[in-house]
Amino acid sequence: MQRAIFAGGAGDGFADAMVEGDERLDASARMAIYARGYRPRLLECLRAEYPAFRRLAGETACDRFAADYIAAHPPRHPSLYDLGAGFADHLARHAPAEAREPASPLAMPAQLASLERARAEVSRAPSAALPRLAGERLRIPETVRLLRLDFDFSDLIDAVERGAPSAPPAAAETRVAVTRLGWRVRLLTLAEWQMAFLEGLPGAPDAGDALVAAWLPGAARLGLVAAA
Amino acid sequence: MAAARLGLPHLGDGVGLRDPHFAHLMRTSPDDWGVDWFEIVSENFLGHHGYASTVLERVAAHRPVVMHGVSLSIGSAEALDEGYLDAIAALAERVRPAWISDHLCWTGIGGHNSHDLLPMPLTETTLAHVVGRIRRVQDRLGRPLIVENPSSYLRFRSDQMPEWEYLSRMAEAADCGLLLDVNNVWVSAMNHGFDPEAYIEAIPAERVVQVHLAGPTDCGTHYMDTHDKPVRDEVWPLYALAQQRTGGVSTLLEWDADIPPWEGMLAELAKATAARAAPAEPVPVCG
Repeated sequence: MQRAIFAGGAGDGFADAMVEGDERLDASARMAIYARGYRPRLLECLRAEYPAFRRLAGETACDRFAADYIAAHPPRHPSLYDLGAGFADHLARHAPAEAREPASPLAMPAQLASLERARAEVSRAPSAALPRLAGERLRIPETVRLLRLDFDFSDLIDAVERGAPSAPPAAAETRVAVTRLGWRVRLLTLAEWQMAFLEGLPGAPDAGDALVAAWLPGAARLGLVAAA
Repeated sequence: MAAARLGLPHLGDGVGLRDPHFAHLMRTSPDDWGVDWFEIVSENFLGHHGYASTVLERVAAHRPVVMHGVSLSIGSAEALDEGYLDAIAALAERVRPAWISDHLCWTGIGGHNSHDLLPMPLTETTLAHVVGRIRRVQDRLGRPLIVENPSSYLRFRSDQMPEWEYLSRMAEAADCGLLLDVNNVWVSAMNHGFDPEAYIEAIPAERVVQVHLAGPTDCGTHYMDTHDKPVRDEVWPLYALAQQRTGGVSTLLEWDADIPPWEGMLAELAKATAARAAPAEPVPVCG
Protein backbone atom coordinates (compact mmCIF):
# COMPACT_ATOMS: atom_id res chain seq x y z
CA MET A 1 0.00 0.00 0.00
CA GLN A 2 2.79 2.44 0.88
CA ARG A 3 4.60 1.66 -2.39
CA ALA A 4 1.47 2.36 -4.38
CA ILE A 5 0.82 5.66 -2.64
CA PHE A 6 4.44 6.71 -3.10
CA ALA A 7 4.12 6.01 -6.80
CA GLY A 8 0.83 7.88 -6.98
CA GLY A 9 -1.39 4.86 -7.45
CA ALA A 10 -1.29 1.36 -8.92
CA GLY A 11 -3.74 1.19 -11.74
CA ASP A 12 -7.45 1.64 -12.20
CA GLY A 13 -9.54 1.21 -9.13
CA PHE A 14 -6.66 1.22 -6.67
CA ALA A 15 -7.45 4.64 -5.26
CA ASP A 16 -11.15 3.86 -4.95
CA ALA A 17 -10.38 0.60 -3.18
CA MET A 18 -8.03 2.24 -0.65
CA VAL A 19 -9.22 5.80 -0.15
CA GLU A 20 -12.50 7.55 0.53
CA GLY A 21 -13.65 10.18 -1.92
CA ASP A 22 -16.47 12.69 -1.88
CA GLU A 23 -18.22 15.26 -4.03
CA ARG A 24 -15.30 17.69 -3.76
CA LEU A 25 -12.47 15.30 -4.47
CA ASP A 26 -12.70 11.68 -5.53
CA ALA A 27 -10.26 9.09 -4.22
CA SER A 28 -7.81 9.49 -7.10
CA ALA A 29 -7.72 13.26 -6.70
CA ARG A 30 -7.03 12.95 -2.98
CA MET A 31 -4.19 10.52 -3.58
CA ALA A 32 -2.84 12.80 -6.31
CA ILE A 33 -2.48 15.64 -3.79
CA TYR A 34 0.33 13.68 -2.18
CA ALA A 35 1.75 12.30 -5.42
CA ARG A 36 1.91 15.80 -6.95
CA GLY A 37 3.04 17.51 -3.79
CA TYR A 38 6.50 16.21 -3.14
CA ARG A 39 8.03 16.48 -6.60
CA PRO A 40 7.61 20.29 -6.88
CA ARG A 41 9.28 20.63 -3.49
CA LEU A 42 12.29 18.65 -4.69
CA LEU A 43 12.38 20.71 -7.88
CA GLU A 44 12.42 23.90 -5.83
CA CYS A 45 15.44 22.64 -3.90
CA LEU A 46 17.39 22.07 -7.09
CA ARG A 47 16.42 25.49 -8.42
CA ALA A 48 17.77 27.05 -5.24
CA GLU A 49 21.06 25.14 -5.36
CA TYR A 50 21.72 25.75 -9.08
CA PRO A 51 20.71 29.37 -9.83
CA ALA A 52 23.50 29.97 -12.34
CA PHE A 53 22.65 26.76 -14.18
CA ARG A 54 19.04 27.93 -14.23
CA ARG A 55 20.14 31.25 -15.74
CA LEU A 56 22.31 29.51 -18.34
CA ALA A 57 19.83 26.82 -19.38
CA GLY A 58 16.66 28.85 -18.96
CA GLU A 59 13.88 28.03 -16.52
CA THR A 60 12.03 25.54 -18.70
CA ALA A 61 15.09 23.52 -19.65
CA CYS A 62 16.43 23.68 -16.10
CA ASP A 63 13.19 22.28 -14.72
CA ARG A 64 13.17 19.54 -17.34
CA PHE A 65 16.75 18.52 -16.53
CA ALA A 66 15.96 18.64 -12.80
CA ALA A 67 12.79 16.59 -13.17
CA ASP A 68 14.68 13.98 -15.19
CA TYR A 69 17.34 13.87 -12.50
CA ILE A 70 14.82 13.47 -9.69
CA ALA A 71 13.05 10.69 -11.58
CA ALA A 72 16.36 8.90 -12.20
CA HIS A 73 17.74 9.53 -8.71
CA PRO A 74 14.91 9.81 -6.19
CA PRO A 75 16.25 11.12 -2.89
CA ARG A 76 17.46 8.63 -0.32
CA HIS A 77 18.78 10.87 2.38
CA PRO A 78 17.01 12.51 5.32
CA SER A 79 18.43 15.90 4.34
CA LEU A 80 17.48 17.71 1.15
CA TYR A 81 21.07 18.93 0.95
CA ASP A 82 22.01 15.55 -0.48
CA LEU A 83 19.41 15.76 -3.25
CA GLY A 84 21.63 17.68 -5.67
CA ALA A 85 24.87 15.78 -5.09
CA GLY A 86 24.69 13.82 -8.34
CA PHE A 87 23.13 16.46 -10.60
CA ALA A 88 26.35 17.46 -12.37
CA ASP A 89 27.28 13.82 -13.03
CA HIS A 90 23.76 13.18 -14.33
CA LEU A 91 24.06 16.08 -16.77
CA ALA A 92 27.47 14.87 -17.92
CA ARG A 93 26.26 11.29 -18.44
CA HIS A 94 23.28 12.39 -20.50
CA ALA A 95 25.07 15.02 -22.57
CA PRO A 96 25.51 14.31 -26.31
CA ALA A 97 28.76 12.61 -27.36
CA GLU A 98 29.95 15.93 -28.82
CA ALA A 99 30.12 17.31 -25.26
CA ARG A 100 33.34 15.34 -24.75
CA GLU A 101 35.13 17.36 -27.44
CA PRO A 102 37.52 20.00 -26.04
CA ALA A 103 35.72 23.18 -24.98
CA SER A 104 32.44 21.96 -26.45
CA PRO A 105 29.60 24.29 -25.38
CA LEU A 106 27.58 21.13 -24.75
CA ALA A 107 29.85 20.46 -21.75
CA MET A 108 28.97 23.79 -20.19
CA PRO A 109 25.85 22.73 -18.21
CA ALA A 110 27.54 19.85 -16.40
CA GLN A 111 30.66 21.85 -15.62
CA LEU A 112 28.65 24.79 -14.30
CA ALA A 113 26.58 22.44 -12.15
CA SER A 114 29.76 20.90 -10.72
CA LEU A 115 30.97 24.37 -9.79
CA GLU A 116 27.70 25.28 -8.08
CA ARG A 117 27.66 22.00 -6.18
CA ALA A 118 31.21 22.65 -5.04
CA ARG A 119 30.10 26.01 -3.64
CA ALA A 120 27.28 24.32 -1.73
CA GLU A 121 29.61 21.69 -0.28
CA VAL A 122 32.24 24.22 0.72
CA SER A 123 29.67 26.44 2.43
CA ARG A 124 28.77 23.63 4.84
CA ALA A 125 32.13 21.99 5.41
CA PRO A 126 33.97 22.15 8.74
CA SER A 127 36.73 24.70 8.73
CA ALA A 128 40.34 23.86 9.56
CA ALA A 129 42.88 25.75 11.60
CA LEU A 130 45.52 27.76 9.75
CA PRO A 131 48.68 25.70 9.32
CA ARG A 132 52.02 26.73 10.77
CA LEU A 133 53.62 25.87 7.41
CA ALA A 134 57.24 25.50 8.54
CA GLY A 135 58.05 21.91 7.65
CA GLU A 136 54.41 20.83 8.01
CA ARG A 137 52.71 18.22 5.89
CA LEU A 138 49.79 19.91 4.25
CA ARG A 139 46.39 18.83 2.92
CA ILE A 140 43.41 20.31 1.14
CA PRO A 141 40.88 21.25 3.82
CA GLU A 142 37.24 20.22 3.48
CA THR A 143 36.40 23.85 2.75
CA VAL A 144 38.22 23.65 -0.61
CA ARG A 145 37.22 22.06 -3.92
CA LEU A 146 39.48 22.08 -6.97
CA LEU A 147 37.98 22.06 -10.46
CA ARG A 148 39.48 22.11 -13.95
CA LEU A 149 36.94 23.68 -16.27
CA ASP A 150 36.77 24.54 -19.95
CA PHE A 151 34.88 27.77 -19.32
CA ASP A 152 35.19 30.85 -17.14
CA PHE A 153 31.97 30.96 -15.13
CA SER A 154 33.05 33.67 -12.69
CA ASP A 155 31.18 36.54 -14.38
CA LEU A 156 28.02 34.46 -14.67
CA ILE A 157 28.14 33.44 -10.99
CA ASP A 158 28.74 37.05 -9.96
CA ALA A 159 25.90 38.37 -12.15
CA VAL A 160 23.42 35.84 -10.81
CA GLU A 161 24.34 36.75 -7.23
CA ARG A 162 23.82 40.43 -7.97
CA GLY A 163 20.64 39.83 -9.98
CA ALA A 164 22.33 41.46 -12.96
CA PRO A 165 22.22 40.48 -16.65
CA SER A 166 24.94 38.11 -17.85
CA ALA A 167 26.66 37.07 -21.05
CA PRO A 168 27.38 33.45 -21.98
CA PRO A 169 30.55 32.18 -20.29
CA ALA A 170 33.72 32.43 -22.36
CA ALA A 171 35.54 29.29 -23.40
CA ALA A 172 38.78 29.33 -21.41
CA GLU A 173 40.81 26.66 -19.67
CA THR A 174 40.16 27.63 -16.07
CA ARG A 175 41.58 26.21 -12.88
CA VAL A 176 39.31 27.07 -9.96
CA ALA A 177 39.66 26.67 -6.23
CA VAL A 178 36.33 27.03 -4.46
CA THR A 179 37.24 28.01 -0.92
CA ARG A 180 35.59 29.41 2.16
CA LEU A 181 37.16 32.02 4.36
CA GLY A 182 35.08 32.73 7.40
CA TRP A 183 31.60 32.39 5.99
CA ARG A 184 32.36 33.74 2.55
CA VAL A 185 32.68 31.29 -0.34
CA ARG A 186 35.11 32.49 -3.01
CA LEU A 187 36.13 31.32 -6.45
CA LEU A 188 39.87 31.66 -6.95
CA THR A 189 41.52 31.24 -10.36
CA LEU A 190 44.82 29.37 -10.04
CA ALA A 191 47.91 29.12 -12.16
CA GLU A 192 48.77 25.64 -13.40
CA TRP A 193 51.69 25.28 -10.94
CA GLN A 194 49.42 26.27 -8.03
CA MET A 195 46.76 23.78 -9.11
CA ALA A 196 49.36 21.07 -9.57
CA PHE A 197 50.74 21.72 -6.09
CA LEU A 198 47.32 21.53 -4.45
CA GLU A 199 46.33 18.45 -6.44
CA GLY A 200 49.52 16.79 -5.21
CA LEU A 201 48.56 17.11 -1.55
CA PRO A 202 48.64 15.69 1.06
CA GLY A 203 52.35 16.05 1.45
CA ALA A 204 55.14 18.34 2.49
CA PRO A 205 56.13 21.21 0.17
CA ASP A 206 59.47 20.83 -1.60
CA ALA A 207 61.82 22.93 0.52
CA GLY A 208 63.71 23.87 -2.65
CA ASP A 209 60.68 25.25 -4.50
CA ALA A 210 60.98 28.97 -3.93
CA LEU A 211 57.85 29.79 -5.95
CA VAL A 212 55.65 27.57 -3.79
CA ALA A 213 57.37 28.73 -0.62
CA ALA A 214 56.63 32.35 -1.46
CA TRP A 215 53.01 31.54 -2.31
CA LEU A 216 52.11 29.29 0.60
CA PRO A 217 51.55 31.92 3.32
CA GLY A 218 49.03 33.67 1.12
CA ALA A 219 47.46 30.38 0.13
CA ALA A 220 47.09 29.50 3.79
CA ARG A 221 45.42 32.83 4.54
CA LEU A 222 42.98 32.11 1.71
CA GLY A 223 42.14 28.78 3.33
CA LEU A 224 43.62 26.68 0.52
CA VAL A 225 45.81 24.49 2.74
CA ALA A 226 45.57 22.97 6.19
CA ALA A 227 47.84 20.85 8.35
CA ALA A 228 47.67 17.19 7.38
CA MET B 1 -1.84 10.32 34.46
CA ALA B 2 1.22 12.01 32.99
CA ALA B 3 2.46 15.31 34.40
CA ALA B 4 1.42 18.40 32.47
CA ARG B 5 3.54 18.77 29.31
CA LEU B 6 5.22 15.50 30.31
CA GLY B 7 7.08 17.61 32.84
CA LEU B 8 8.76 19.54 30.03
CA PRO B 9 9.10 23.33 30.29
CA HIS B 10 6.72 25.97 29.00
CA LEU B 11 9.05 27.90 26.73
CA GLY B 12 6.71 30.74 25.81
CA ASP B 13 6.35 32.05 22.25
CA GLY B 14 8.83 31.08 19.54
CA VAL B 15 9.53 31.00 15.82
CA GLY B 16 11.33 28.72 13.42
CA LEU B 17 15.01 29.48 12.82
CA ARG B 18 15.12 30.32 9.08
CA ASP B 19 17.74 31.65 6.63
CA PRO B 20 16.11 35.05 5.94
CA HIS B 21 16.48 35.98 9.61
CA PHE B 22 20.07 34.82 10.15
CA ALA B 23 21.65 38.20 9.53
CA HIS B 24 19.23 39.93 11.88
CA LEU B 25 19.88 37.43 14.67
CA MET B 26 23.65 37.73 14.25
CA ARG B 27 23.76 41.52 14.31
CA THR B 28 21.05 42.13 16.94
CA SER B 29 21.45 41.75 20.67
CA PRO B 30 19.60 38.69 21.99
CA ASP B 31 17.88 41.05 24.41
CA ASP B 32 16.14 42.60 21.41
CA TRP B 33 15.10 39.44 19.54
CA GLY B 34 11.56 39.53 20.90
CA VAL B 35 11.00 35.76 21.02
CA ASP B 36 11.38 33.26 23.82
CA TRP B 37 12.68 30.24 21.89
CA PHE B 38 13.44 28.76 18.48
CA GLU B 39 12.58 25.60 16.61
CA ILE B 40 14.93 24.17 14.00
CA VAL B 41 14.20 21.71 11.22
CA SER B 42 16.70 19.10 12.37
CA GLU B 43 17.58 17.90 8.87
CA ASN B 44 18.72 21.38 7.83
CA PHE B 45 21.54 21.21 10.36
CA LEU B 46 22.70 17.60 10.03
CA GLY B 47 26.33 17.63 8.93
CA HIS B 48 26.28 21.42 8.59
CA HIS B 49 29.39 23.22 9.79
CA GLY B 50 28.97 26.49 7.97
CA TYR B 51 27.26 29.79 8.66
CA ALA B 52 23.90 28.26 9.60
CA SER B 53 25.64 26.20 12.26
CA THR B 54 27.25 29.33 13.68
CA VAL B 55 23.88 31.05 13.81
CA LEU B 56 22.41 28.04 15.59
CA GLU B 57 25.22 28.09 18.14
CA ARG B 58 24.57 31.75 18.88
CA VAL B 59 20.83 31.23 19.14
CA ALA B 60 21.22 28.16 21.35
CA ALA B 61 23.55 30.09 23.65
CA HIS B 62 20.81 32.62 24.34
CA ARG B 63 17.47 30.83 23.93
CA PRO B 64 16.02 27.35 24.27
CA VAL B 65 15.97 25.41 21.02
CA VAL B 66 13.71 22.55 19.95
CA MET B 67 14.60 20.05 17.22
CA HIS B 68 11.71 19.36 14.82
CA GLY B 69 12.36 16.58 12.32
CA VAL B 70 10.68 15.64 9.07
CA SER B 71 12.41 12.38 8.12
CA LEU B 72 11.83 10.02 11.08
CA SER B 73 9.07 8.27 9.11
CA ILE B 74 7.66 6.77 12.29
CA GLY B 75 4.82 5.15 10.36
CA SER B 76 6.92 3.43 7.72
CA ALA B 77 6.73 -0.30 7.13
CA GLU B 78 10.53 -0.32 6.78
CA ALA B 79 13.08 -0.49 9.58
CA LEU B 80 13.98 2.65 11.49
CA ASP B 81 16.95 4.42 9.93
CA GLU B 82 19.59 3.89 12.61
CA GLY B 83 22.04 6.17 10.81
CA TYR B 84 19.49 8.96 10.87
CA LEU B 85 18.82 8.39 14.56
CA ASP B 86 22.55 8.55 15.25
CA ALA B 87 22.74 11.86 13.38
CA ILE B 88 19.77 13.24 15.32
CA ALA B 89 21.37 12.12 18.58
CA ALA B 90 24.66 13.78 17.59
CA LEU B 91 22.90 17.03 16.74
CA ALA B 92 21.06 16.89 20.06
CA GLU B 93 24.44 16.62 21.82
CA ARG B 94 25.46 19.90 20.19
CA VAL B 95 22.16 21.75 20.50
CA ARG B 96 20.85 20.39 23.82
CA PRO B 97 17.22 20.81 22.68
CA ALA B 98 14.36 21.16 25.13
CA TRP B 99 12.71 18.30 23.19
CA ILE B 100 12.78 16.49 19.87
CA SER B 101 9.71 16.16 17.68
CA ASP B 102 8.57 14.71 14.37
CA HIS B 103 5.31 13.80 12.64
CA LEU B 104 2.80 10.97 12.62
CA CYS B 105 3.47 9.93 9.03
CA TRP B 106 5.75 7.99 6.74
CA THR B 107 8.03 9.70 4.26
CA GLY B 108 9.13 7.07 1.76
CA ILE B 109 9.74 3.45 0.95
CA GLY B 110 12.31 1.30 -0.79
CA GLY B 111 15.05 3.47 0.66
CA HIS B 112 13.61 6.56 -1.02
CA ASN B 113 12.61 9.68 0.87
CA SER B 114 9.86 11.82 -0.61
CA HIS B 115 10.57 14.60 1.87
CA ASP B 116 6.81 14.81 2.32
CA LEU B 117 4.57 13.73 5.18
CA LEU B 118 2.56 10.84 3.75
CA PRO B 119 -0.68 9.60 5.33
CA MET B 120 -1.15 6.76 7.79
CA PRO B 121 -4.08 4.33 7.81
CA LEU B 122 -5.48 4.69 11.32
CA THR B 123 -5.89 1.05 12.29
CA GLU B 124 -5.16 -1.09 15.34
CA THR B 125 -2.31 -2.70 13.44
CA THR B 126 -0.59 0.55 12.50
CA LEU B 127 -1.18 1.88 16.01
CA ALA B 128 0.69 -1.02 17.55
CA HIS B 129 3.40 -0.66 14.93
CA VAL B 130 3.84 3.08 15.55
CA VAL B 131 3.82 2.68 19.33
CA GLY B 132 6.60 0.10 19.13
CA ARG B 133 8.70 2.34 16.91
CA ILE B 134 8.17 5.40 19.12
CA ARG B 135 9.37 3.41 22.12
CA ARG B 136 12.52 2.35 20.26
CA VAL B 137 13.20 5.92 19.16
CA GLN B 138 12.74 7.16 22.72
CA ASP B 139 15.10 4.49 24.02
CA ARG B 140 17.70 5.46 21.40
CA LEU B 141 17.42 9.20 22.04
CA GLY B 142 17.07 8.85 25.79
CA ARG B 143 14.10 11.18 25.95
CA PRO B 144 10.39 11.35 25.07
CA LEU B 145 9.50 11.88 21.42
CA ILE B 146 6.97 14.61 20.71
CA VAL B 147 4.71 13.63 17.81
CA GLU B 148 2.84 16.12 15.63
CA ASN B 149 -0.56 15.62 14.00
CA PRO B 150 -0.10 16.08 10.23
CA SER B 151 -2.47 17.83 7.86
CA SER B 152 -4.60 15.33 6.03
CA TYR B 153 -5.94 15.22 2.46
CA LEU B 154 -7.29 11.69 2.36
CA ARG B 155 -8.79 9.05 4.63
CA PHE B 156 -8.34 5.36 4.15
CA ARG B 157 -11.29 3.00 3.89
CA SER B 158 -9.43 0.82 6.38
CA ASP B 159 -9.40 3.51 9.08
CA GLN B 160 -10.77 2.07 12.31
CA MET B 161 -10.77 5.24 14.41
CA PRO B 162 -10.59 9.02 14.05
CA GLU B 163 -7.20 10.68 14.16
CA TRP B 164 -7.76 12.23 17.58
CA GLU B 165 -8.42 8.80 19.08
CA TYR B 166 -5.39 7.38 17.31
CA LEU B 167 -3.11 10.11 18.62
CA SER B 168 -4.51 9.84 22.13
CA ARG B 169 -4.03 6.08 22.32
CA MET B 170 -0.62 6.35 20.69
CA ALA B 171 0.56 8.93 23.23
CA GLU B 172 -0.64 6.88 26.20
CA ALA B 173 0.70 3.55 24.97
CA ALA B 174 4.08 4.94 23.88
CA ASP B 175 4.27 7.40 26.79
CA CYS B 176 5.23 10.12 24.34
CA GLY B 177 4.25 13.76 23.98
CA LEU B 178 2.10 15.55 21.44
CA LEU B 179 2.82 18.57 19.28
CA LEU B 180 -0.66 19.89 18.59
CA ASP B 181 -0.66 21.73 15.27
CA VAL B 182 -3.92 23.64 15.41
CA ASN B 183 -3.55 24.78 11.79
CA ASN B 184 -3.31 21.13 10.75
CA VAL B 185 -6.37 20.33 12.84
CA TRP B 186 -8.32 23.05 11.02
CA VAL B 187 -6.98 22.06 7.56
CA SER B 188 -7.88 18.43 8.13
CA ALA B 189 -11.29 19.39 9.52
CA MET B 190 -12.02 21.44 6.41
CA ASN B 191 -10.79 18.67 4.13
CA HIS B 192 -12.76 15.89 5.82
CA GLY B 193 -15.74 17.57 7.42
CA PHE B 194 -15.22 17.03 11.13
CA ASP B 195 -15.44 19.40 14.09
CA PRO B 196 -11.99 20.83 14.88
CA GLU B 197 -13.06 21.74 18.40
CA ALA B 198 -14.06 18.15 19.08
CA TYR B 199 -10.60 17.06 17.92
CA ILE B 200 -8.88 19.40 20.37
CA GLU B 201 -11.25 18.46 23.17
CA ALA B 202 -10.42 14.79 22.64
CA ILE B 203 -6.65 15.10 22.82
CA PRO B 204 -5.10 14.27 26.24
CA ALA B 205 -4.22 17.77 27.36
CA GLU B 206 -1.46 16.71 29.74
CA ARG B 207 0.50 15.15 26.87
CA VAL B 208 0.50 18.29 24.73
CA VAL B 209 3.96 19.83 24.97
CA GLN B 210 3.78 22.39 22.20
CA VAL B 211 1.37 24.04 19.77
CA HIS B 212 2.16 24.93 16.16
CA LEU B 213 0.56 27.85 14.34
CA ALA B 214 0.83 28.34 10.58
CA GLY B 215 -1.03 29.64 7.52
CA PRO B 216 -2.46 27.28 4.85
CA THR B 217 -3.43 27.77 1.22
CA ASP B 218 -6.99 27.57 -0.09
CA CYS B 219 -6.82 25.36 -3.18
CA GLY B 220 -10.56 25.54 -3.89
CA THR B 221 -11.39 21.91 -3.34
CA HIS B 222 -9.18 21.59 -0.27
CA TYR B 223 -6.75 23.42 1.98
CA MET B 224 -3.01 22.73 1.87
CA ASP B 225 -0.63 23.07 4.79
CA THR B 226 1.85 25.39 3.06
CA HIS B 227 3.26 27.45 5.96
CA ASP B 228 3.45 30.51 3.73
CA LYS B 229 0.71 32.82 4.99
CA PRO B 230 -0.57 34.38 8.17
CA VAL B 231 -2.58 32.22 10.52
CA ARG B 232 -6.21 32.11 9.45
CA ASP B 233 -8.76 33.89 11.62
CA GLU B 234 -10.62 30.61 12.14
CA VAL B 235 -7.59 29.02 13.75
CA TRP B 236 -7.11 31.49 16.59
CA PRO B 237 -10.09 30.26 18.63
CA LEU B 238 -8.76 26.71 18.24
CA TYR B 239 -5.42 27.91 19.53
CA ALA B 240 -7.09 29.60 22.47
CA LEU B 241 -9.01 26.40 23.22
CA ALA B 242 -5.80 24.35 23.12
CA GLN B 243 -4.07 26.75 25.50
CA GLN B 244 -7.07 26.77 27.80
CA ARG B 245 -7.31 22.96 27.92
CA THR B 246 -3.60 22.46 28.50
CA GLY B 247 -3.15 25.24 31.02
CA GLY B 248 -0.65 26.83 28.67
CA VAL B 249 2.07 25.27 26.49
CA SER B 250 4.85 26.53 24.23
CA THR B 251 3.69 28.24 21.04
CA LEU B 252 5.64 28.07 17.78
CA LEU B 253 4.85 30.11 14.68
CA GLU B 254 5.82 28.13 11.58
CA TRP B 255 6.54 30.05 8.39
CA ASP B 256 8.60 28.27 5.74
CA ALA B 257 7.97 30.07 2.44
CA ASP B 258 7.39 33.72 1.50
CA ILE B 259 8.85 34.38 4.92
CA PRO B 260 8.23 37.93 6.17
CA PRO B 261 10.96 40.09 7.70
CA TRP B 262 11.65 39.61 11.39
CA GLU B 263 9.28 42.35 12.46
CA GLY B 264 6.51 40.70 10.46
CA MET B 265 7.09 37.43 12.31
CA LEU B 266 6.88 39.21 15.64
CA ALA B 267 3.66 40.93 14.61
CA GLU B 268 2.09 37.57 13.73
CA LEU B 269 3.36 36.01 16.95
CA ALA B 270 1.83 38.86 18.93
CA LYS B 271 -1.57 37.66 17.76
CA ALA B 272 -0.98 34.52 19.83
CA THR B 273 -0.68 36.64 22.96
CA ALA B 274 -3.91 38.40 22.05
CA ALA B 275 -5.67 35.11 21.34
CA ARG B 276 -4.75 33.73 24.74
CA ALA B 277 -6.14 36.82 26.39
CA ALA B 278 -9.39 36.93 24.40
CA PRO B 279 -12.54 35.17 25.61
CA ALA B 280 -13.14 31.83 23.87
CA GLU B 281 -15.56 31.94 20.92
CA PRO B 282 -17.31 28.97 19.34
CA VAL B 283 -15.54 27.69 16.25
CA PRO B 284 -17.80 27.21 13.19
CA VAL B 285 -18.08 23.56 12.31
CA CYS B 286 -17.22 22.93 8.68
CA GLY B 287 -19.06 20.73 6.19
